[in-house]
Amino acid sequence: MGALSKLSQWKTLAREVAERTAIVVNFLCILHVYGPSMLPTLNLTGDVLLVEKMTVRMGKVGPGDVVLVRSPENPRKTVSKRILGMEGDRVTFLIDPKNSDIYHSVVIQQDFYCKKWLKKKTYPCYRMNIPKASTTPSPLPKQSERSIEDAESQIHVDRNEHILPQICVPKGHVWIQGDNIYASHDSRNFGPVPYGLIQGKAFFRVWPLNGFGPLGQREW
Amino acid sequence: MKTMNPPRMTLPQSETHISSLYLPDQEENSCFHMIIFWGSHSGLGCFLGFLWLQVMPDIHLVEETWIWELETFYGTLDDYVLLEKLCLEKYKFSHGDVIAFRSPTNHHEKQIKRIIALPGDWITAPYSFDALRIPEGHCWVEGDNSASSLDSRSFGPVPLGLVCGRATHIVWPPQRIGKIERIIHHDRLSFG
Repeated sequence: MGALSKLSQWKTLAREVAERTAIVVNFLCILHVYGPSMLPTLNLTGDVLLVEKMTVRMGKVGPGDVVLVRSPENPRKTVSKRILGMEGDRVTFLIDPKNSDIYHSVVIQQDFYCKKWLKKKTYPCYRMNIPKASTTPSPLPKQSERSIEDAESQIHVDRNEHILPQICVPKGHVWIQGDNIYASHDSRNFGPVPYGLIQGKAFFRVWPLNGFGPLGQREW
Repeated sequence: MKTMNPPRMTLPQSETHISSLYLPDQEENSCFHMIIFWGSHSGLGCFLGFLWLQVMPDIHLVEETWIWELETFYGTLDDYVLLEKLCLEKYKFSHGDVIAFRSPTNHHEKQIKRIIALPGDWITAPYSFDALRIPEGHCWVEGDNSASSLDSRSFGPVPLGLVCGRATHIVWPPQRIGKIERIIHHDRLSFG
């Protein structure tokens, strides 16, 4: 007798809980991430992180944030990397740090030609224009002769004759890189990724307990 | 019986015993029972909410320019299409599917185009005799109305992670209700 009224109370309560949970799931989730590419920030054997999605949807994610990104090479895989450059930045990067004595793995600059290149309506396919570091460079044009087309991608030769590829991050894309540059498959391999692939921003570590706390900027 | 606290030493009647376990408005309920009650309900709610979000298809508003891109005649109304999201489980698409994806140049916009080539295929590059290989995890999309369509010929192959769903039917306006057919362009494509 009382069972039927209990059932209807259960039903309304279950419906209310489902609606509220569906709202919360859009904002926040807990994730277990593992792998070597974000050492020393995240552990090899795994960390449980709190990931939030609203800052991503509002477009407020910026350089220095640890984000979860759907891999452009395999959409079923989600990787965690750090954003280092936004659209319009010129990135000079090092693909193979093990065989090189250059200290910085990546240099991000805000460049006038890159910003003007952003306004062009059509963009080349980013994936196919990553220059290889081993090709010999043609002589660089003088500063006064540079034009917008040079901003797309080129080779940079620094004072010690190191050859480094250089690329401009196109509109709507970000440059992601793992903190562990020796064991990370990131934008140095597959180029800048579209912002739409970013799934969430990891802002807090829950487990292991000795690392409990917010994830900040790079530790080194 | 609901207004009286039954004494602890006597067994309560079966009806009030059940109600004391499941309804929180009984005074003799302990904290423990409340925790079990809320825990089990939120667990069930989480599970149901999770299932609902995974499986629910959505009705997606298509902007007016899509009509010009997909059909050869002009329309002045917006089309509504049914987007199914079950294909996002395994990211398996076929040649000729119409998909909705976030634009790679502006993540706030969504576009609807047709898949011409899948990862690993070779496609003839636009306006030249070269062949391009579609990288792993990307697809080549083009609008049906090639003349006025901003698609992979401008921004290159699109990562499959940007796809939001596959458009299977037009549901509004009523004179255009029907299935969206798959059209495969054999002349642009070669495999292997």
